[in-house]
Amino acid sequence: MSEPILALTGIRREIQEGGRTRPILSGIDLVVSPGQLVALVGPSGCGKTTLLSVAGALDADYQGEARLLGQDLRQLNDDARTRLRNEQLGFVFQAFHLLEHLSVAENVAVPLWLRDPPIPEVQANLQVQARLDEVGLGDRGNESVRQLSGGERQRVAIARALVGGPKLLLADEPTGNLDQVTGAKIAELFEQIRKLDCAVLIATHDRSLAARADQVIELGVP
Amino acid sequence: MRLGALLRRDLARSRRKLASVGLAVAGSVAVITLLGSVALGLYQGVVAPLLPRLPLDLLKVEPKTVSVGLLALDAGALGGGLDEVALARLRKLEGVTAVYPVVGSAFPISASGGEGFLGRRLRADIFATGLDPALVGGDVAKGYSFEDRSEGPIPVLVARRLLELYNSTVASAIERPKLSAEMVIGFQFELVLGSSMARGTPDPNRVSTRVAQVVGFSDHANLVGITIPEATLRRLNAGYDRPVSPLAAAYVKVDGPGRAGPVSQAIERAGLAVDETPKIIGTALTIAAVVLGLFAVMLLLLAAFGITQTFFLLVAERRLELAILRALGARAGDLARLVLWEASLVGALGGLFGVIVGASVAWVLDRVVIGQLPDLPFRPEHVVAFSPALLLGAAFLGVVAAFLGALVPAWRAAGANPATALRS
Ligand SMILES: Nc1ncnc2c1ncn2[C@@H]1O[C@H](COP(=O)(O)OP(=O)(O)O)[C@@H](O)[C@H]1O
Ligand SMILES: [Mg+2]
Repeated sequence: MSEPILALTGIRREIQEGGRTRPILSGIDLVVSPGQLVALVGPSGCGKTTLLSVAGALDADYQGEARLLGQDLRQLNDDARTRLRNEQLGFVFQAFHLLEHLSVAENVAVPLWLRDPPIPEVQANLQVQARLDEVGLGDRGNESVRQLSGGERQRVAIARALVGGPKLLLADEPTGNLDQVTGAKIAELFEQIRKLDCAVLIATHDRSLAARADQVIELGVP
Repeated sequence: MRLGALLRRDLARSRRKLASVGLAVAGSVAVITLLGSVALGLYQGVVAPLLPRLPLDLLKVEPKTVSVGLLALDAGALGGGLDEVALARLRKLEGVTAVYPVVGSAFPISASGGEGFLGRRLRADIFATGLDPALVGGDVAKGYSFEDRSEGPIPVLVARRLLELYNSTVASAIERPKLSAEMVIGFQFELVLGSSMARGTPDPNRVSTRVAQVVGFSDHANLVGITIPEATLRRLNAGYDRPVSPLAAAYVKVDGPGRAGPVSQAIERAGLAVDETPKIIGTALTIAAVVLGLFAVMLLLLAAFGITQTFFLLVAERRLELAILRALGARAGDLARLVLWEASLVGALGGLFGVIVGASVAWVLDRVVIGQLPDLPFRPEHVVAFSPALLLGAAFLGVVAAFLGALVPAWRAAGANPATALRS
């Protein structure tokens, strides 16, 4: 087996609540290999989002070991974690989180705008167009995102998550805000993404989405 | 620029809020430009032309509690308070560029002559003081010199006011024509050194006669006598067993009228007196400058405060968006830079607009005021003036105020937590 994209070992996370510490995660192990689709399931409040934050280098306040593409996240400073998110990770949020003042194509381009050193505009435009084509919005780039439906918004978000050529895509309840039919179409998209040589880690309640996974991790209430 | 695309769209999105806070910056900068150009105009049009007539950068320092007349009468007996040590101290004061002593005479002097235009030969006691040619060189008539010479006539400067006094009162009283400066310059008379009517002849062996010649009129010359080169008088004093000449006063040159106030204070703390006029005007100028400066700072603080408020609001409104950007790859410093760039651009545009408005208002004001001015003896051509430093400086202050005002909001923006993007 090739080197894993993500390797979490004994991840523990506590939060301070009214002067007391409450454990959220108590010793989670998880490995995502290249091209894998991994589903993270469990009841609300079991810590799925918390675990995605650790895996996505968004939260540095954990115990245990988190390795992303062979790098120990604890060894990286904030700027290095930021670079890693920009270049190697893609994020899809339950509430889509598009930037409302930007067009469809501009939303997809944001991760490229943030890249350091900057990507030439022509190349960036090509990448954006390719991703929009893949999610079926190739001719909608100039539209404002305000006019899009929920399913279309999530397609834009997925194109944005993929535009920088990530090795791992992290999605938190990506179908949670969508009706069943639209959710099924998004689920199909995730399966296509695996063919792009990008692993996917999805936190979801959606049984049909979890059913497509190579690996299902069940989180219990701690 | 790396963040340029985001910056442009942010500016476009918030143009209303940014325009209104930009106007606040513009207002402050406009008022500063207006006040600055009026201050500069009054200085260039009114104060500066008056400077040569009323040298506000030249202070006259005297020993305390002694009148000028008395000093001239017998400076040698007094000396207290003003000596070479005091001169050295004056030279060391901050803002002082030169110190010119007024040397007194240590021996009695009388003068005789005047047949030419007084009608008969007069003999009168006279007081002499010595001044550095560097101070009064500009008052010497063309073709004459005020340097110390061992031979030939001793060059003499006469108080300009003495000529004015003569013409306005004495001439008519003795039924003689008024005198012009040209008529008096070159006039020679005799000085009797070592003897006068009031003080007699202390040492008959040391009485000598020298020819003196008027070489010019000066505002710094002794009103009740003659003024000769400092070196000449020091040399003569030494001949009367006074190797160290008495000092009647000193002129202190400062590096600008605004300095007159502070330097006067320092001198008075040292126990010497300063002639009032330049002191008062210098103090007034200093106070005006300080008041203007404080006012400008207040206006800028107001503008900066407006920027702070607006950007606090923008950062608060965009908390989630900032977290999303952090998650997608914006460094904390990127978000701070975005805020600072936005504010600086608003400050630059506001500053530019403010300078244009302020300068326009100042220009109109100038036309109106000049049109209303009565025929004054020193009628200025302008009451406002612009300089590149003033205009660029005012616009730049707008940028500085905006930048400083945005520092705390920028810091707040940089603190956005990327993990909250998943939680919202
Ligand atoms: N930043 C936080 N502040 C307060 N409580 C939190 C925070 N993060 C997580 N929690 C708590 O931790 C638990 C797990 O939350 P979460 O990871 O969002 O679970 P899930 O995504 O599985 O619903 C919940 O009880 C939640 O209230
Ligand atoms: Mg969750």
